[in-house]
Amino acid sequence: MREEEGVARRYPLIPVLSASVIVSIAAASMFLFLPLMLAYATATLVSVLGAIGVAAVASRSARSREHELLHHIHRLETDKANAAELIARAETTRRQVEMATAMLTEGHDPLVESPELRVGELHDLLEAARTARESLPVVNRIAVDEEELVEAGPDRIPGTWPRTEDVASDPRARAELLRGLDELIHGLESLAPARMESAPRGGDPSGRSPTQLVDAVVQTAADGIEDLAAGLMRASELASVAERVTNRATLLALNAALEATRSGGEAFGAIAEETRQLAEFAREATDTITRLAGEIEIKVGETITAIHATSEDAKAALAAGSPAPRASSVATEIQRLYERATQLRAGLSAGAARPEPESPAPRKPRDSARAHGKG
Amino acid sequence: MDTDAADPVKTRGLLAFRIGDVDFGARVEDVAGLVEADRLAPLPGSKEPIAGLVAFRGGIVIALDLAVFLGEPSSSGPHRFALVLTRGGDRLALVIPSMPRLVPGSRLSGPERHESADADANALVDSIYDHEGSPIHCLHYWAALDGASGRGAAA
Repeated sequence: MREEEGVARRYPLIPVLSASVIVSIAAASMFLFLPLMLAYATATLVSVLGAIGVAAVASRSARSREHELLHHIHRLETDKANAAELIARAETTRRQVEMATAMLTEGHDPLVESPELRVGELHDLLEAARTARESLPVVNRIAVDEEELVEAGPDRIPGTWPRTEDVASDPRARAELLRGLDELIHGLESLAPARMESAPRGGDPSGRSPTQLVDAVVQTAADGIEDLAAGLMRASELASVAERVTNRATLLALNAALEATRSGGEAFGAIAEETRQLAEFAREATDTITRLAGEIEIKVGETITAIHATSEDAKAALAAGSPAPRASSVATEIQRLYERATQLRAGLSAGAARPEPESPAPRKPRDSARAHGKG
Repeated sequence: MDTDAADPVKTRGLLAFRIGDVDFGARVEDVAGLVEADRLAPLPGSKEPIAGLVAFRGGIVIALDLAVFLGEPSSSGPHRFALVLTRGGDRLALVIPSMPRLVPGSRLSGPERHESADADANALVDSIYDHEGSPIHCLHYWAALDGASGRGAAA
């Protein structure tokens, strides 16, 4: 330490010079690195600003996509709702068709007997079918006229109907008649399968025979009623228990009345009277329950017997081949109408395909047309 | 038996019941109580009209089928009752086919002693009360038990 102090005393400018050198170096370093630091800071700032810009753009894009997605979802929901509505409408229509088919199979007119079928497209369909059915005589007249035309020649054609020669020669009349027949055939095709398939032979979409259908319906009804009967049996058991309780109450009342009578006590008499009234009330209730249960049991028994009898009758009728006379006759009528219309259509189409004749050549009468026309 | 032979007495009421086409009754003063008699314990060696034993207030009481005693079909319905009579310390149950009804003494007239040419009937019927024009017969029930016991013993 003494040596160092001696040097400092000897050279007092050394610390000053050292400090000056350090300050100079620091100043030089500052001037050297300042531009670099500024450049770095600028670059950092630009990067941050760029990142913020990119983020803003990305955010806007995401919002746009989100909006688009929400729009799609909304559309999907709307479509889904529309689809559900369409499905519901289709289901309603299907149910109505099933009901109408069932009623037709049983020989009833659904338009008259089922108010529910008055609405919807089925109404139009069935109305067309009814019109077609009512036009059976007209079609028959066409067949008869055609037959007469063939037999008697073109001079005796009724005036109200298009003459065959007109149909043959006038493309417009032919087209008109063809269109009418097409509509008729289409209507009949829509209607005929249900009637022609189900009425004469019976059956339903599940492929069950009429006997099986009758059995299923009767079995379901009988099962339900037998369940009810079982419930009534339990009710009868309860009534029996209630009767025992009533008997006990009556016994109690009588014993209390006996004691009251023997002792002559007024309080005992009052209790006896109350007990007697309670027993009387319980007895009346039990009698009512028993009577009602008995009546219902009798009616249920009668209903079960009637259902089984109906089932047997229906099965016998089906076995005899007469499931539903009215339905069968309607189906036959529709079948005949359909065949006649198809034949007419085929004949007219064939006529249209041929080159127009000079004069209308008499056509050979069709056997079926003759048979139906005469029949 | 002395009681049975005594003059008919007024009563505060009758427990009336029907067997066949005849109304019978028991004076409330002679009745200890009424119980269900759906199940009777059979009494070995007994003959009709002894129906068996019935439980009453902790004791057992011999039961007499009154319908059988009177020559009617046995009281074997789903619900039959035992009318327990008391005399001193003794008890006797009468099996009857239906729930009895209590007729207050104020609505009864009589009693009258039953007197007819039939000695057996005279011995059986103690007295007759009148309720709204209909007679109600009170019997010598204890005598019936004695007779039944005698018949049973003889058999």
